[in-house]
Amino acid sequence: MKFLASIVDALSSLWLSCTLLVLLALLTWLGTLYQVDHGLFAAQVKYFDSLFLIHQAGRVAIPLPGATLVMGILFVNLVMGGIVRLRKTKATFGIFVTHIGILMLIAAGFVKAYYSEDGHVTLFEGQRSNLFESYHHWEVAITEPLPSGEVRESVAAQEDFVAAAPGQPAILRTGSLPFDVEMSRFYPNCDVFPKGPMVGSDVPVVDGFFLQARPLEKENEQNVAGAYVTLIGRAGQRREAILHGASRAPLTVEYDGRRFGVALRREQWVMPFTVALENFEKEDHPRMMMPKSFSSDVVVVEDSSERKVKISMNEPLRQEGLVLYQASWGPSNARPGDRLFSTLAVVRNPADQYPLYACIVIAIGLVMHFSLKLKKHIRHEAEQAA
Amino acid sequence: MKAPHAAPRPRQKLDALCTKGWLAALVLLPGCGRPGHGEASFSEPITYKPAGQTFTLGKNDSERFGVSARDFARGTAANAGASAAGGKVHWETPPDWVELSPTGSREANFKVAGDAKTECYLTRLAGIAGGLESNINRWRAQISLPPLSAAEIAELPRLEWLGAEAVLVNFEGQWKGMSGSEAEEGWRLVGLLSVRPDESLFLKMVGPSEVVGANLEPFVRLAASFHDGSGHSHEADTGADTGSPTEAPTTNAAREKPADIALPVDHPPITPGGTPVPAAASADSLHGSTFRWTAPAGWARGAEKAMREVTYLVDGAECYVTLLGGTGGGLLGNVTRWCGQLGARPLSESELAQLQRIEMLEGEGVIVKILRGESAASAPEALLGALCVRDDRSLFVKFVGPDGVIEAQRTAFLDFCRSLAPLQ
Repeated sequence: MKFLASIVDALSSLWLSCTLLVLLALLTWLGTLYQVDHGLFAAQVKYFDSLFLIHQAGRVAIPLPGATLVMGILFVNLVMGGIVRLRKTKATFGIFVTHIGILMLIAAGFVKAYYSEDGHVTLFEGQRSNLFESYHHWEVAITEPLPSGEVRESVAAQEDFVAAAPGQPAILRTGSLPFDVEMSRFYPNCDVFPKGPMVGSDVPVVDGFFLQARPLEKENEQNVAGAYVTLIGRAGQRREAILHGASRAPLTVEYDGRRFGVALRREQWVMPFTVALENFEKEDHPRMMMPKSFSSDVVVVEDSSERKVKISMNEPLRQEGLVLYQASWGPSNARPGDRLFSTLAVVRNPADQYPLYACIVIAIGLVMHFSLKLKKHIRHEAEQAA
Repeated sequence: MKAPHAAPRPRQKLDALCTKGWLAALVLLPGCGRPGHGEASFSEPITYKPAGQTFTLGKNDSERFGVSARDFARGTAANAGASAAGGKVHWETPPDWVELSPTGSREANFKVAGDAKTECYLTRLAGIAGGLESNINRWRAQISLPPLSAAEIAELPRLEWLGAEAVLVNFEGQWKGMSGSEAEEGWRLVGLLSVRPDESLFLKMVGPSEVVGANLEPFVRLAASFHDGSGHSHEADTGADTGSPTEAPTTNAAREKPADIALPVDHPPITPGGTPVPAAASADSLHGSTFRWTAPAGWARGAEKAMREVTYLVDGAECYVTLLGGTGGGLLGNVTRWCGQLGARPLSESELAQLQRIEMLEGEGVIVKILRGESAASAPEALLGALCVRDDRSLFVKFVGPDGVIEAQRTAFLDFCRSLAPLQ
């Protein structure tokens, strides 16, 4: 019991709060430095999505807790110290409310980290789409076109095959479909090459092509994954193939008179509405190629209704739980008069508004607390003057 | 693909979280890790109608990977002209090269087959883009060479390229990269710089020396293929085939060394360091453009293919000529390889010594016939080959198809082999 009490004491201590806040500051600083050489995604994964990490300071390896673990302990610390063990008096009520607001903020971060989807939809003028795709994650998709114009699709997530390698293949079962997929090699970044007669290859050559692994790019969006797969029919027939993330079309296979497309692609989601890009506008700074502002005039089509919306840098479109932001445009080497595309970042974040609510709660708590303090100070001054 | 209601990502992320921490894996969240291999299942299928997208099936590998079947087959390439700047510059990707998407200021972007490090790209910038001298010396700095003086730059070879003068450079050294952060020993940079008042074009190939050296010919062909879409094409005519350079412009010379990009008449082959050396000493000399031949009657010329000098088709059989540097693997090595391709027993050295010899390329060619063995059901029925192996370069003529056709055309084949001669 005494041991339990000491743990509770430690978890609710102000000392722990300060330590955790210093650690968070340290991780932010180290992560920012790491980002310079390794890119944003790698820094985020190593320092912020992790429970533990090894920071390499020259030749010295320093074990550190990851930001996820630190935030988890901070949440417990705030609950224990700021809610449970806080003396509930009129004087501390503002502090209590402020702690509630901070906990809401951390909860919003948790929901964003683990329950949100984010990607992008990229369109040239005149194009439309009801899909958005991830910047980072890959999936294997098996698509069967239906006579109605619809498609039926099953996917396997990257986490199921990311470690596929010779000797440890990933067997991806399709269940109701007439074939399974065995992935024998997965490369997070690679090129696909035709095998010329004078070109050596230490990896399998399939139908004249092979994959050549490349070092990971600093910016994860630039990595293009590839994989060697074998499609295994229900009768045991095997077909080897290469899947590559930059393919212009899926691999076509036919089983039992049904045609399927098999593709390795960025993870995709269906939007409950269609976005059509009518017009993209980019305004440059005078005598410079640097854009001053850019915006997209889109038509949002849902069921049979249409509405026109302008999405600009600070005015996103919010619809059906999705938020579409004006993110970028291209091609970056476009000249005046060239056809441009617009990239809209798409986020589905159930905690989208939580930070706003949390800030309001924190502000209320602080106002209450400082009001009490001010009132007390005025009263004290008045008493001294009297 | 996820429907709006589906939300597998949280589980994936939590799983990833589990695998990242032994504490979580052991204590907090046991049993939820996914190793990334082993057995897993596809998601339950969802049905939806994609908007604005055509779901295309039936593409072959060449089409899927961006090297069209036609171009891949004839060994020249995929791009028939779409450029990042709205089709203002067109080109033909060399055989076995892979065209990449334009990036940044790179209007055309290529990878050389089989080598991830070697790249070649076209950059087009407005105005003089810093000028000729600064760009040449910037490239030299990238490959750890000291700057050239204006007088030295004036002595660099000039060519006509895209209707204007271009300077040809050829440097070798330690590649430091654009930012100076790399350190690759034994690299080579070959490039064309055309600096003009209105806009400047730069074509640059950089990579390990041996790879760049082996790709000089494709580089030249690529440079020659660039045209601006206004009818100012730099491609050589590819009219009807007679097999003789004096009869029609279909010889290798016409195909592979277009006049407007070829090195100056008196300029020796490109060698590292920019110092010309006699052709005989250069392993990089542009081969493949120095032969003529007489095609047998009834033989139809086939599509061009990578690594082949020429291909002919006759009655279901195919005959093609390949030129390789050095001994190309040697006589015994190639005959053994051919035997393996047909599932036949390899020949011994004594059997090799008894094979028929013919006069070929001012020397001796070895004639070998191999019939398909039982272990190679899908191979051609027979192979009749001629091998002319030399220390500096070797020529191989391979005639494959039904045995009856091969035998019927044997005399024509031997005449064809004898007709192969170096251009003067």
